[in-house]
Amino acid sequence: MKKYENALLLVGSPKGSLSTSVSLGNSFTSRLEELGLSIDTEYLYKLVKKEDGQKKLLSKVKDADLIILAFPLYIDCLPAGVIKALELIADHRQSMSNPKKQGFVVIINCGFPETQHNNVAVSICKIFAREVGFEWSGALAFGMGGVFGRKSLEERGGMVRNVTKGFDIAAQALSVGEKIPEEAIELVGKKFMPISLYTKMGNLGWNIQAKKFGARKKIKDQPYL
Amino acid sequence: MKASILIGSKADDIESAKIHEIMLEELKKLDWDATSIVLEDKNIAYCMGCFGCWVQTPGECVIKDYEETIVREMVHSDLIIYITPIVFGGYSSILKKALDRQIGRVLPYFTKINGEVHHSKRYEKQQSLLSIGLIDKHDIEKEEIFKSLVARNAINMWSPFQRAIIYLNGEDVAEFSNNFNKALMEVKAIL
Repeated sequence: MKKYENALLLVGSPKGSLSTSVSLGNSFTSRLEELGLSIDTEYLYKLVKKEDGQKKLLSKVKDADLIILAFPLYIDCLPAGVIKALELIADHRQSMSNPKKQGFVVIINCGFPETQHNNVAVSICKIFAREVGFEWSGALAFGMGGVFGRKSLEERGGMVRNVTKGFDIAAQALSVGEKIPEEAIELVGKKFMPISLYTKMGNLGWNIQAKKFGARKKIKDQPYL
Repeated sequence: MKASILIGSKADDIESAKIHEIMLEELKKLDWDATSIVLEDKNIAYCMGCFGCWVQTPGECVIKDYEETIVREMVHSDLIIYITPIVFGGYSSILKKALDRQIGRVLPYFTKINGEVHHSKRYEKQQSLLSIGLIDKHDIEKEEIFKSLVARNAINMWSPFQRAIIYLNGEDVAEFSNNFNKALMEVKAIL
């Protein structure tokens, strides 16, 4: 018998439905769906700003068997809107008499090439799970998030084959109530390309984007001096 | 010597207010010019993740609200101080909302620091970082995560000196005051 009947994907990017976080989250939940779980998706930045949204968030979290939090790394940790959501969930769980045991998984993407930038954020999420009584099922974290550019794993193809494999293994494990295996975590954390190539492409990408806004020559401005 | 204090606790947090007063006394004793900002009282929007502060209006956020005052203040400071409850080992959402809007203080371009990729400096002058974490009861794991977070932030923002100081709510303030004073002396020594 499956341990989880349903999963709630919480998207923690302020870009919401246009984010890399949602495309990765969807890639992951589509695997769970194929394995028999029903999936619901909510956007944290939409929910945390208003009281009715906060109530909706807490109600959705309360009903979920497995909670999947997908977010981008912002300055070494979770984006503010995600922290706000976790604060709300923690307060709410304290007021509940017998909250049910729920699984908790995080998917973190970081714009730097090295996966280790995510370590502090993973630790924070683990502490959150401990505090609210969620069962920590693991973190799928990787660097080089700029590679995705909102595209799905399938669209990115062979370059992200290790993430694809890691997601397959992780989804399979979760569908039978197990934690994400170390093998999946390691596969997902592998580099997609040499670091020097990623940084070169990244630097070029910033110039191209700035040019679109007519700001290429101002990119090193120091406006507050 | 100029210090900016970002208060990320709830505006009515008595413990936070208490240590803030102590910090102001210590800063005054050592001739620091300090400005405090109670973030909860300010109109600060969430970062939209648009990177406009890198590619559209470089160095400035495209959202015009109180954050602009904060970033201007920080750029001209020698020392930035955070006060925050330790939330799951990290910062409060109140503090983080202000911090997420500060990536314009560095450039989008990648560079390496000690073999790891980070962003290049935008400004020549850099700010030391002291982060005061308030906690209700000691929790080694949370405190270590908090210290790691502050150390990582200091690398990303090119801080020449960083220190995380833990304050156990309700404890004798003498030890905190002493630790804070020592950290200020260390910051002063490298100016």
